[in-house]
Amino acid sequence: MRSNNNEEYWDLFFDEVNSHLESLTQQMQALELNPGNLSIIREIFRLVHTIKGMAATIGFNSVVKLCHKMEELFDFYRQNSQPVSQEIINCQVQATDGLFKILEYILANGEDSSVCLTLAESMSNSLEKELNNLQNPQTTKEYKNKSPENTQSKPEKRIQIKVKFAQDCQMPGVRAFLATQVLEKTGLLLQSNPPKDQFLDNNIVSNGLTAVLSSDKSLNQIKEGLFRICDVIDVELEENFSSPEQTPPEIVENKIINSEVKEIYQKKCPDYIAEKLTPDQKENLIKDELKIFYIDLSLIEEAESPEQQFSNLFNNINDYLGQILDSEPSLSVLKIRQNSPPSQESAKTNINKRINEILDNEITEFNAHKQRYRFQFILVIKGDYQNILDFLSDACELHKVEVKEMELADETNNASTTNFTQINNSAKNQENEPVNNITLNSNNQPTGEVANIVKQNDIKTSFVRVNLASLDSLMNSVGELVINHNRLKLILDETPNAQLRSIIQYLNQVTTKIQQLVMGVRMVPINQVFNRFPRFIRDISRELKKDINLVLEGEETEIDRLMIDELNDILIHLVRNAMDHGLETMNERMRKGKSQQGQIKMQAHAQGNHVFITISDDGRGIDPEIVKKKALAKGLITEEEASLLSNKEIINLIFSSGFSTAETVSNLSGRGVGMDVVKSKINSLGGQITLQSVIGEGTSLKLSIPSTISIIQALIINIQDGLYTIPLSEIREIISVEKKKQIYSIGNCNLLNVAGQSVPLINLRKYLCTDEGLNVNDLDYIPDNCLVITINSDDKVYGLIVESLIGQQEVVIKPISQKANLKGLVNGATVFGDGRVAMILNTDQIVRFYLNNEDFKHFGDLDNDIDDLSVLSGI
Amino acid sequence: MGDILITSNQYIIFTLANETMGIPISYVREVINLNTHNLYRIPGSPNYFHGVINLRGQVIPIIDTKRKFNFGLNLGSVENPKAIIIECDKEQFGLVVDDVEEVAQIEESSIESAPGNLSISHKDRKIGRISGKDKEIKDRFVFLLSKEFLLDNPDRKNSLMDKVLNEVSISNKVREKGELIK
Repeated sequence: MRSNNNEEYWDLFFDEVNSHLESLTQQMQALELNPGNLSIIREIFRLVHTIKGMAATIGFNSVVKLCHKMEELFDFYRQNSQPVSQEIINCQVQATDGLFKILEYILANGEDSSVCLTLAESMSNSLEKELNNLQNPQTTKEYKNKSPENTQSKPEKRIQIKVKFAQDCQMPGVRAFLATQVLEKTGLLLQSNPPKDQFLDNNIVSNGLTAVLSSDKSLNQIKEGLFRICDVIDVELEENFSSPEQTPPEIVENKIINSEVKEIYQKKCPDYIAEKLTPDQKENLIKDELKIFYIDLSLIEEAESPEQQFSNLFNNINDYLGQILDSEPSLSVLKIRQNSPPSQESAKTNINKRINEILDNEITEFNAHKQRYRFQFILVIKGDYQNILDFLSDACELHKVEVKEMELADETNNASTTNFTQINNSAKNQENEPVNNITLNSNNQPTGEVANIVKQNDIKTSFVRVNLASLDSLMNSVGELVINHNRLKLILDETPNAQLRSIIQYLNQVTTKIQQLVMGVRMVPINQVFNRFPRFIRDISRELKKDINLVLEGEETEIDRLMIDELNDILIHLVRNAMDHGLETMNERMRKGKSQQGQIKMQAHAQGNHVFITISDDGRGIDPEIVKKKALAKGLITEEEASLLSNKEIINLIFSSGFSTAETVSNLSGRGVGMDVVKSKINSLGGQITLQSVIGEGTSLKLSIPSTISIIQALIINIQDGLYTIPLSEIREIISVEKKKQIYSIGNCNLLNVAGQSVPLINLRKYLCTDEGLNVNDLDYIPDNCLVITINSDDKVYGLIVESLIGQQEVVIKPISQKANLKGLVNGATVFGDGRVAMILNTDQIVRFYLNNEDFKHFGDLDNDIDDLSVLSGI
Repeated sequence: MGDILITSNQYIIFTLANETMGIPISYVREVINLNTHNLYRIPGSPNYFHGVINLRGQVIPIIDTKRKFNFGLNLGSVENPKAIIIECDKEQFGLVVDDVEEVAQIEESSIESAPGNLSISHKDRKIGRISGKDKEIKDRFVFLLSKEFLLDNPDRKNSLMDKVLNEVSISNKVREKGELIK
């Protein structure tokens, strides 16, 4: 219900959260390099907190839950200013991944389901464990300070251990035996379940092993020892400080939290509370969807700065649980007291009368000191008392809590039984983490207030998020503006008018400025793509067990926003290849006398209208012999052809479809989706890819990509009275040709001799004007004097025959519906100032048709086309 | 958008090779006189695409409706063909028609499935009824075809696209069927 209401905000939410998560990943990276940097920790904390707040607003509880745990862990570091250990960072990185996964799942399924919650729970449990590990040594210290004689007499502590084995563990019995051996080395094994003699029964042991150990070793030491045993996937440790008598752990546990549920009479909700409710809330109360609870809690007396805890609690409850209608002490009082802890006298006067009225005051005998650790409030929430308990026990060091359900005063109701729960932590167990065993049951309800807070934060930023689609249509409109402006100029040329001229001149300035601005808005620095790679390399290098250093250069180079998304996949593929196939293993590098650490370099720079991206490694390089063998084996070339090819040409065979050089197919690269796909993708973006490789020194791939896909420099040509344009970036040279002297024909193929090289000629007329004479020999259709534009495609040169050139111009690309452009012969169309339309030719696709399509007869016939096309482009 | 369609039952009625057809008005951006626009061929386009025109700086593909509907090419062309500019799925294209007649109201209740033997073969055939132009002329029947009929080959299944497109129909074929009413 809730999620439906918020669906309109989903796009916004996912957009923002994604950008937060990205910066979170970056910060994690930074933290890894600099684990003690407090400002990074603060920044991470802030980011996680923001995500949590946003998720709470929209109602994604699993996200809230996970974030909450992440935040808690960082909060610990934030307050203690300790360097963060590698373990924790790993854990947090995993949690970040978990967030990504959850969000992906929600986006795909349209709801926050129990699957997400389970994932979040398992993640937050492991975080919780880390947090406990962090806090426990501290608790121990405090404990020691407070009762030194105690510690001296009993240096050993009792540790409850739970060991979990992998589900597919082959011999859990043996593992359990090993585990007990480890435990016996570290201390006195008091108890194990199942007992040692049952270890041979694998079925019993496969559930895991629980044990009680008496040891003076630290938890981490024990944990480490246990994790050395293979198939151990999880170890849970819990310290008890109880007397060394042999008590079964269950009983110890029961002593920690001695909870009992009593029945009491329902309390009437006082009028002044009822007045604070909104009509909506009242209605929901009657419907029983909302409930009012009176909560009275006190902290353990050793708790530090209860005021601080209470005000945090107050905020947290308002943020995640429900709305606090009234509290004693109130938030403002708490804040004041926080700054100057009250003396016993003043605290005494602060006992709240209103609350006592409600309570029929059994508690006035509390002395002022105790009062300081006491917090009472009235809460309206959606959940049950269990939710409150769970929330509270997670939030603070509880000593005692009392939860009572109240009913609305004006509602007539039999004084029926209701819930009253009391958690009473027996005093001698206070030094433990008293609430370890209560897990948070996240049913946190976001309130309108959270939304307000989030909104306020948004106002502070000076950026506006714009839907990419509206940016595109803006761009489109600007293109139309430019075209219409050109029309006006033409009219002016025909009918000169001084007044009109000055207006058009001004219009020209404005139009150019708008165009530049819009183009600028679309340009983003390429580090939006590059930034994902440090993390990517970190993960993959571990998987591959290679030490890899990533060098990024020219991250500030700007590129069209649309290109970014397209580039990401391509670059990931190329970097994967470099890591997997390019770089040698550490041993291999040692043997070759290279430094152990491999290097991958990603460089970007802009030149003219193009952005050049180079990905290079200092690995083994591509061996032409291996490529040749492979190509022969796969039947890509014949023996004869192979002998003719230069090394460079052979290396470029890796761009042929169906080529994969890795002997073994790993899950990283070599999945059959090879370089041919990368190449065609880059070509479809109007870019080129070139490869350079030196055996033993490394491989370098250079991508050249137009920095924008909407405005290009183009050559305008004329074919049979039709105008066409060819992107200038694709043109090598333009040659004037006399047919009789320079063109010779072999078979069905016309060739032109350009500097000793035979260049196949493609008569554009045949491909662009289909209405006549397709069966006539090509040569007859070439005019006696023609122009040939030579282009590069797949590293080979082709010549395009055109009748005449019109000129060169910057053109705005207008997309053409896929349905009308089934063969992809054009990249779009453009409109000139005089209103004429010209197609922008996709020369690569034309070459592809030329190569595969020599005697393709029914060019204009739709029904055969689509199948043929799919065969040609290998879709 | 779907909601608007259901509430406004207005259709642009046009003629094409002796047939009268209709299109929901919500899809129609404008009607232009085709003669005043130059057509530019798209290389390698399906044969039922006439080409593109420049409509105030926008490049709009024009569909040769007769060819698309397989209406026999022997019918020749009219002197002043019009093009109805359609905008749907954020895409714009023009339909060549012989003439545009009127804007008519076709109630939901007077739309029914078409008999199977009609010349336009499509699984989603629907016909609607509109009253005659003049009082003497009898009521006429309308075919409602789905949008995919115009843009995609009906024999090809592109699953998701089909589902989306099936929800709305944009082309109606009207045929004089007056005697059926009596």
